[in-house]
Amino acid sequence: MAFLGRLHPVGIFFAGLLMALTYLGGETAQNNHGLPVAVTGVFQGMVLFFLLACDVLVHYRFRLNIARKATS
Amino acid sequence: MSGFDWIVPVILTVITAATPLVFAGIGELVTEKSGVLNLGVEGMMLVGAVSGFITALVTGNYFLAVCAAAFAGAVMAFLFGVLTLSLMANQVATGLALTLFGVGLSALMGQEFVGDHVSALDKLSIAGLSDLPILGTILFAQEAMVYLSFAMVAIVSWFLYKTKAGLVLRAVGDSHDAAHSIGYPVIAIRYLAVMFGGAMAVIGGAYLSLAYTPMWAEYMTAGRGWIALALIVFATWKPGLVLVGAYMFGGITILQLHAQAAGLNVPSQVLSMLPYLATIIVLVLISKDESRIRKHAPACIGKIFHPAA
Repeated sequence: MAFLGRLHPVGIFFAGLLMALTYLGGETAQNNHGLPVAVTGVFQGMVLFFLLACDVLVHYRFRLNIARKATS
Repeated sequence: MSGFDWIVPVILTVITAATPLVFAGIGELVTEKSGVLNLGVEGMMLVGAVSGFITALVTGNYFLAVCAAAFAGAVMAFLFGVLTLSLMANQVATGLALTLFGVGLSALMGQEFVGDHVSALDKLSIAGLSDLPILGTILFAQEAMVYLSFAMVAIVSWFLYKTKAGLVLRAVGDSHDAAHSIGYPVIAIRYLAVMFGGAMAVIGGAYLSLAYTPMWAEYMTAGRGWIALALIVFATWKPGLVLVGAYMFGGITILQLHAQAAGLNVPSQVLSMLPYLATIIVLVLISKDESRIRKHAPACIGKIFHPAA
């Protein structure tokens, strides 16, 4: 997933490694804990959700609205 | 008479193949008309299929099953809305993540139910009318959901083009800045549109697991969510054409099944490719005439709305 690599060629390389790790981890979880393979998909989806949601913190700075009202 | 005997079952199966596409397509149409591109249709349909199936299996109540599915879809779509509308995440990436998530979640939820069966949704029967020789079985003896799908197309068409609320929704999709400047709540309208789209998509998914094949299998939508997305471009964002397109794609799906059954001397894999191949060909043909797309496509589709202070 290109977005996981932050749209950067080298980042995509590491994102690929991370994705591979989740597939392997999913299989290990299946072997050791009897979890279904489907958890891999759920986990990958959630990783992407959190990553995309985090962008709002990267791009924008929170400002207290009260302070702004007082100054303007 | 005997020469037409095969036609009735073919038409009946085309209707069952097309109905999920009609639901998913019409829901996504409203979403896209409000300027949001939700690529998570496939994931939402799967979650709807599994939640509808489990509810039907446990309670035996189909109305409840469809309601549960619609609720699950609205929740999934709300999640999409929080990410793309409130947190301003990229819509394409979020949609793909929603599909990944939905495929995994549905497989996880349905794990214990693989291979279970529910009795298929009852077909309506109207005294007298349903017993008519050919038209009776085609027109008057379908599942209630089939009639609902037609009703939804009519309602959405009326809503978008004949009501003020529909006009506002299209305004939000065509220019969110302009709509915002006259004081319409852009984000709230988009939330509603996205959630309506989610609910419709999962009702299509629930139809799959309750009527089309009354069972649950992992990844049972088999790309129907993506076809529904292509359908909207094919229909150039017009509700009536979504219906036509859904029946065309449904027809091709059934055609290849019948061709396989008839033992045509073509590899079955090639025949299974047909619906997807048709999708690509139709999209290429449609894209040739750019003006047709530009006239009807929501201008702000996929763009993130960030109110300027």
